[in-house]
Amino acid sequence: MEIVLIFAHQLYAFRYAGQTADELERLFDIWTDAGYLEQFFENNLSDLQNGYYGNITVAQAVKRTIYHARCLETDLRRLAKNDPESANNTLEDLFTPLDNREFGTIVLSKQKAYGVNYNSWLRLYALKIDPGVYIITGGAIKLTPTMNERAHTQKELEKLEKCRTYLAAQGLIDNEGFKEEFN
Amino acid sequence: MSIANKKEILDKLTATHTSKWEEKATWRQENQEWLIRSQEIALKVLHALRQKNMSQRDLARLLNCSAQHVSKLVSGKENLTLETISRLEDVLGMRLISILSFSMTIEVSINQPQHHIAEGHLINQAESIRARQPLSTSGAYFVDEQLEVA
Repeated sequence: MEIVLIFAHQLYAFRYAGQTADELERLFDIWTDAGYLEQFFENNLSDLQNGYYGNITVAQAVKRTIYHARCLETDLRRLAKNDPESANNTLEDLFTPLDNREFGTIVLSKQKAYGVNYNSWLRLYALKIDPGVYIITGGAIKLTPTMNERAHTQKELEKLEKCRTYLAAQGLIDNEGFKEEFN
Repeated sequence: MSIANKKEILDKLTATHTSKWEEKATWRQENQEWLIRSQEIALKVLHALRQKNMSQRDLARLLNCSAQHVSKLVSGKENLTLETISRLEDVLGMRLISILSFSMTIEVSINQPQHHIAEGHLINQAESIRARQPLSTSGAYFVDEQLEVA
């Protein structure tokens, strides 16, 4: 795996072995692909129509995903350009701890970013290196309350852990941090 | 560990090439209008395939093209030509788009300020169209675009 710069020592993304695109590029490629999304929602039809998101068709879900992806992408582009019109002033406003119960400073904290609002099913997952510095590990269309309910979101949890271990092995956690985090 | 130390380690781990995401994001933004139409058409095609119990490979065979090409058509990222749309309509036996006809334009002119016609516009304001849907003579509906996705 390797790390690819997205913009100015603030946002990075992992590119995994065997993939031609880094995770941010890959995610926005598939989140704007009507064919991919149609198949995804057909495969996850029961999750889509379980009532949480109301009575929604596959076509509506595809259009909604593409719209939310476009909004999120626009916001990221504005952040990259320090555009004051951004819905989020900094990456700190965009990302939030993966674990809603997390408080205080956690070394290489696992983070998530929602789509355009908290009702969006789009998620970006990242590790927080420092305030305002994040590395994206992946993302998902999350249709279930928890991530370990489905294989595709469970895989994202595993990617987060694998990347965290990799960064720790590369020295991004010092001895003190190791003691705090891994003991 | 200091921020400077972390930055130094991160710099060493970072590839020399940068992501293509921003370039692609810019392209998607600049081409947003027709991409939305392409996605609508793609969804119509995909829905028709499911209804007819056809695979994308079946469609490729009917269109005499590769499965990869069909995959691109239904991605909603292709700038489809009228020829391609017509072929899709032909093999699927359905309308994917409809276009304002001249007679419809004349009818619009009765209810709309004359400057639309006088300025030589064939009704280029969506508001003019929305104001009077459906058109009784043709039965056509205009959703919110001139080029309607059927």
